[in-house]
Amino acid sequence: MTLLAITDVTKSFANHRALDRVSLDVRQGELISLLGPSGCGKTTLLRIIGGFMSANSGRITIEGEDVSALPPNKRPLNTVFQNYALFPHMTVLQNVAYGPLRAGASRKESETRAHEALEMVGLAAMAPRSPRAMSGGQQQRVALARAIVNRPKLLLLDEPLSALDLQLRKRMQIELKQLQVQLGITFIFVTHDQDEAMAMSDRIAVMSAGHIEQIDAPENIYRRPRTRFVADFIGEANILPMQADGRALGAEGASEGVLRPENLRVFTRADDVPAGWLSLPGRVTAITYVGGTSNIYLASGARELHARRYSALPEGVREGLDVIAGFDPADVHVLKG
Amino acid sequence: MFTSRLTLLWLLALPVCVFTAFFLMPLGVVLISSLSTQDGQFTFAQYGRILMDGYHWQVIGVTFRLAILSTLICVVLGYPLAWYLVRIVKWRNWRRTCVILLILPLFTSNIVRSFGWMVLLGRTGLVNDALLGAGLIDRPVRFLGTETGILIGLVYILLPFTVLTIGNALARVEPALEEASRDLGAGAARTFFSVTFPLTMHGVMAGGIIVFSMAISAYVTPALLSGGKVTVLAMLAFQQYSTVFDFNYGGALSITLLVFTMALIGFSSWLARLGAQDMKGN
Repeated sequence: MTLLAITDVTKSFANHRALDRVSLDVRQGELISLLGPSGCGKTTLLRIIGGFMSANSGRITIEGEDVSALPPNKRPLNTVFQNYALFPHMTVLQNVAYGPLRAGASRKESETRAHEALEMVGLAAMAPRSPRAMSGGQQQRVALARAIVNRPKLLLLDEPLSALDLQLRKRMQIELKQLQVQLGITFIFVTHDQDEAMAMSDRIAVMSAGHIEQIDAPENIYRRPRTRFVADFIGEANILPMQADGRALGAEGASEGVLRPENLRVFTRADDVPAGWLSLPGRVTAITYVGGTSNIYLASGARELHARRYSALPEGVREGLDVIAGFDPADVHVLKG
Repeated sequence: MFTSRLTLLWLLALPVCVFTAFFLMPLGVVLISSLSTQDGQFTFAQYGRILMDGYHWQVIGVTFRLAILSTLICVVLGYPLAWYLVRIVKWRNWRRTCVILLILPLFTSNIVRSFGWMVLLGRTGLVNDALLGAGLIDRPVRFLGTETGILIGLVYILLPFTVLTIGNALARVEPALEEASRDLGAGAARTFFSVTFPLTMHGVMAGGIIVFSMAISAYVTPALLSGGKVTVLAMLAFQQYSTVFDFNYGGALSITLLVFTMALIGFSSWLARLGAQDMKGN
């Protein structure tokens, strides 16, 4: 069921178009990521959904009701802000109880609900503290508790994990996802971190220059990117000239095929290439070995190729060696148009 | 260790000397003379003379009434002005112009500005002419020689201080905090009173204290705009020092003013802390 429908939303600032006729349907209960490089319009889109900014044109509906003209306090959603935006002059409990109080609950009931929300994020003991005296991870949880305490239909998260260190970020990704499933709240998650988006999302909307390039499940985005931008932005890609049917290498300027590095193999002798595979000659330019993964970089004419293996390097491969790069054409995804 | 301690001593010595020479010494001189008779004997007689006399209490009353009212008016007028400058003006050059217009009078002498108000507030001055012309009054209002006239002068001179301190505090309020408040269901007014105002309270307090301490010790503006009909404590003290040459009595007047001022500032900041604590919950 569609919870949030964004239709043809356009937003221009003085000198550039931040969003260009963006449409997106968000289903009830899913976690959808808006993923893209900075300046792609993902935060602008989130702010328009939240009501902090108004679109030049287009429509936003939540459960069929047009909310485009409603101020943020009248929309059935809450936001986790990028730098948490906790009220520094209130305690943790007061921060979390702020929402229920505004919704008309009594002070006592608000505090009870705030305690429940804090318990959910494991911070009940911190209730009387000042948020200023807390670590980034704890502030993050308080912000989360504050945003879910009113049980919104929709939760917007604006790069909520970007200020945390890598370890904590990985743990919070899992916790956030668990919380989302547990509460059944729909999450819209803005991030520029593709790993984060891949790890957490039911669907990813990849954005670039004010429009959505592709909306799909993480695996489909990775295996079947629709555009060159998506192929390059999500993971790494070897772009090969292919025939339109994807069965053979084509002339330069023909269709582009996307081959992920883990599907490219390096052979020292042409005889070793399995039957039915395609091959390109190349010269090894660099080799790196990172924690169980070896990367081989090749130059094939003007083209750079990247092969990745999750095991030791093939025998005898070293920098400057002329080798054969081989791949199964079934692993190549041909971009349309 | 040795060098660092010596360095520290030197570093501390300079500000201590400056404070002693420029702040403590004069104050000490005044305090000692206020506790002495003409021939140097210790006495509380000067203070007895002040506190036992109804006239002095009346002057103290006028002084504090003027100072408190100018502080309140400066804060109440200063807040929206600061809001306008910080939140509403989008065009940088216009904001700059406004700030310059605001600060410019501070570069002119108090005396000149107070004389200016004497001209404006006179029986046939611009203010009365305008009010008469607009038909709001039938005959000229007497401003000069009244507390209202002095109040207008004080507010005019002291308003920039509250605008600047409150504006500074407003500019530091993170927009995301107000957005968070709106996001959590608070309307614009609720957001202002629960988030914006408490977060600018320190600016209000700072501006209020500056205005209050300048208003309570103001001499030139009350002296010129009072026309001799209203007396504030600073005028009494000035008379004693400049015309009567009674440094002991004048000193006692000054110290009385200082003590009352500090008591009031202490009381109001205690009140503000209490208020801020109370406001947190909402």
